[in-house]
Amino acid sequence: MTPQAEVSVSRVARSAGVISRAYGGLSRRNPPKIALAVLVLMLFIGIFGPVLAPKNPHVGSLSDSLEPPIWLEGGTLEFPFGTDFFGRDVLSRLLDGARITLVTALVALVGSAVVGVAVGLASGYFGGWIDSLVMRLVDFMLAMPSLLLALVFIAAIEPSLRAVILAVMISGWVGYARYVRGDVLSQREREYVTAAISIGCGAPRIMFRHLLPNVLATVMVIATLQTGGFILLVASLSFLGVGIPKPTAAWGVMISDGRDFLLNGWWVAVVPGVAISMLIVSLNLVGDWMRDTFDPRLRGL
Amino acid sequence: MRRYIAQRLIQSVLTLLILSLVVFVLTWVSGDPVLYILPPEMIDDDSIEELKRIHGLDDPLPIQYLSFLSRAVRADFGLSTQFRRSSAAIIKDRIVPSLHLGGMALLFVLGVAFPLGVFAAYNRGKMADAISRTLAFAGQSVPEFWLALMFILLFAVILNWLPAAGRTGGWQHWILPSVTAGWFAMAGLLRITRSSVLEVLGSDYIRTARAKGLSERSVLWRHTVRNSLITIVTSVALLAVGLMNGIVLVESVFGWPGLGQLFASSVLARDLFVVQGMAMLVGVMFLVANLLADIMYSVVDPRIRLGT
Repeated sequence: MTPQAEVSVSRVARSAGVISRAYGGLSRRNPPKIALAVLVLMLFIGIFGPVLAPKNPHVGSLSDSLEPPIWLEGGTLEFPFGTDFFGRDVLSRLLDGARITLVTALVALVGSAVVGVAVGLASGYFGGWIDSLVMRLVDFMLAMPSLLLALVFIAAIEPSLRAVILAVMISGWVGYARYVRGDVLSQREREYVTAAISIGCGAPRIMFRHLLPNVLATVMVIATLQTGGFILLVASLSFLGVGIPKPTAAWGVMISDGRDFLLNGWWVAVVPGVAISMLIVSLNLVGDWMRDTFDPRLRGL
Repeated sequence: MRRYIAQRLIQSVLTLLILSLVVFVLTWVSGDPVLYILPPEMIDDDSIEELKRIHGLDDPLPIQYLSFLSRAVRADFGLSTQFRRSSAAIIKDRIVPSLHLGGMALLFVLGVAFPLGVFAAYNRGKMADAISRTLAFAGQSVPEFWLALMFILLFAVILNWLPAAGRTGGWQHWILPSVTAGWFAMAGLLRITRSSVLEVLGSDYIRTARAKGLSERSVLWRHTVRNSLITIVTSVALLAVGLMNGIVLVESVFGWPGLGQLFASSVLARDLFVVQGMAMLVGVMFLVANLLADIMYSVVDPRIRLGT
């Protein structure tokens, strides 16, 4: 078989798999439009937020300390969402913090996916002792609370942005590895893999050129469902003071800043909390929809 | 059964060994442990040498690991740099408050999620179902520490019904911490209960039970709920994970003097020996919990034979 024929064989198999999964007699739901709109808005803010911020998010004037938001008595257009204790504009901090919040989650997500998919592919394809070792590790990781693992890791190295991302990845790869392995186990027996082996493809080529495209749907669904959890975890670490270092206005840090002012400045904690909750709700809604549409076997996730 | 438990125990010990190795390595990743033991004003070459000799830090790493292991078995993790007391003693003091909080949170989780899940599944598509689905969804989408703050704002600051912090005092002090600590796990269990009851309700033997004229109560409780229990028990380990995460965050918010707060503050203060001790303790707890969960499967569903 010529190299071209090999490509077309894998391409046919690939598109057949994806199409049958996406349209194969499943109950197709309408996409959650509001949630998608919120995500687009968040993405927009994440990209342009620091430019859009009307005030300096890191410097305020103490004479503006704890100004109320616009819908309360005494609120002004100058600070639509009020100010925090140090007189910093909450709206500007929110816009500025969107980027770091999203970027941290996305980097951790891509990192986890790369590690998890590679481990899952190897585990499913090679089987044997590699597989048992990986599955033992996966079981162990699933039984451990992600927050505690992240905390132990951060305790060992200095808290920093890099530490946070690595700490999230510690438990993040597990989901990919587990489901990709399951997928590969069933794909391995298909004709296109046998065909690839028979024309002499090496293991890396089969794993990454032939198997990988066929598990991508699973990976996409897991990624969307996981993003919300990642953002929660990063925010939790920031809240505990070991996450994204201050004075960066990550949303979790903002909530933690507001905890001491519930009595006379509740908006400092409420506004970023609402933003983070909206983001996670939207991500979970879109993730549920993607799962039902592309890969309903993942219902247990 | 006995053989299975023995096998699992050996596996657990192996896992613990791996965990201890990881914990030991973490100390070395973090830099020279001597710098954590000595007070800053005493750091000079002489005292570092002296301390290394006393604590055996000059030994080759494998020997150091063995000595760490032998001390870990005796629950000796060294002095806490933060409190200048034995780490194990500090941890011991914090166990009871955390058990209290965990127990109360678990009561809340089981008391709300299980009946509501069954009720929602039985009344599928109706109002109660919609409410419980929203609750399950919202519970997993709202950060727990923020929820804790919002509860404080609403019930303590605005309505003035419940106290905002503390553990000593009346039962009122327990409500907000246990509800928020269990919130995430509650949402998870609600979701799982609802879907597993729904699945059983759609099965053939339930139709048969109805066809032969059993009362609805008998159909629901004796045939449906009992059979959906297996899925629910399977997810108990996941719930424990959610509960643990919740406890760490909630203890910090409410100033609850438990393990979670100790853990967070030790990480912040880089109090490595306490973190080591806590990591080992959590590891042991989870291995025991998983073992119990596995044994419970066969109790709930006699069809599952362990160890074959």
